[in-house]
Amino acid sequence: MRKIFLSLALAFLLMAALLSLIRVAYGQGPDEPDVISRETQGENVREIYAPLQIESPQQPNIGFIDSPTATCYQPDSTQDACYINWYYLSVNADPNYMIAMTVTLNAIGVVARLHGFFQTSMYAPYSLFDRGFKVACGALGSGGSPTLGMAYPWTINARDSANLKSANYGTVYCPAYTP
Amino acid sequence: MIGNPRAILAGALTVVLLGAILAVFGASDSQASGLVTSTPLGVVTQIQSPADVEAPAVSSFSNSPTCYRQAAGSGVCYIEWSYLYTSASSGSYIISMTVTIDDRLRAYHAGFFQTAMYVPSDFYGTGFKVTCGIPGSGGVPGMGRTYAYTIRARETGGGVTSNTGAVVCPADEIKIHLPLIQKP
Repeated sequence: MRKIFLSLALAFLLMAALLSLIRVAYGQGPDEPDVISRETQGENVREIYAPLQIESPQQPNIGFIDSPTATCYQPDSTQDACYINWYYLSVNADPNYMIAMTVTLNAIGVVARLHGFFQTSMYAPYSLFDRGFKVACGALGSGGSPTLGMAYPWTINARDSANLKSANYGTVYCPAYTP
Repeated sequence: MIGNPRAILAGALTVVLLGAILAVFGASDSQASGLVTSTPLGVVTQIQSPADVEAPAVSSFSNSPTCYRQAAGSGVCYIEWSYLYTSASSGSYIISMTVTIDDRLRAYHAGFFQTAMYVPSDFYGTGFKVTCGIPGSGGVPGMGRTYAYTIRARETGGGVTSNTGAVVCPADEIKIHLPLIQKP
């Protein structure tokens, strides 16, 4: 009886250990990119990650994308026309080369693509996009805030020659159009 | 010793405990190393503002509010500033800065991991379009309409700052010239 009890207890413990190890392996997600660094602040998120096909470096050369002052403004209050722009966009991957940086308004799609040309960093001032990307301002409350118009989630992606990527995610709110 | 159940049990318990300890410390959402664990590379930082530190309050500047008339006779004026600037208190980030003209929101600037925000004059192109107004319409003799503006900034520490003022526009009258048609 004692031997049977001991055997059962041993089997139970072995099974528990085996299941815990399987849980670890399952939680690692074979289809998820490897996030090297990630920061959040309110609705804002910025991260550096490596695609599945390459090994994640300890110190990536590509840094966070600088994308200050995401703006939506309405030049003419009598028209349902707003413009989205950033003060500047900047990213550095020295000594790797920058391949590309894209600007996406999630509701619309890719609105800009900047190509690298033998450059280790990339800088785009606000004037590069003229007055900005034209969007609909939207009615009061259409973006979820009672005092604002439409909300536009956005994504900025950058990739370097080592195939490492940096991404910024945020949301900009537009003034409402009230005819 | 071979065949001793107590020895076998002790050895098995040791192996199991070691495995469980490795499993607990090796688990990570960003690692795909299987049974071999390593120091996680992922760094997650949650930015929070300190609640118990006295720091300079959030401040903002709205330099040289201007109303100008680009084309005489069009009735159209534009409002702009030499620059807009706001700075968060120590340990805080800027959440937003808004521009309101006559109680109508005209611009929303969202902060992105930034402790200060600077907007130059030409960021808005020609500026915010408004009606110039006829002479005296704003209470100032010979000048056009007067517009009240508010620049408001918020930070993660809970601070809010407002700059409020008024800008007077040049007067402008729209002149419509009728075509001269002669009777046949």
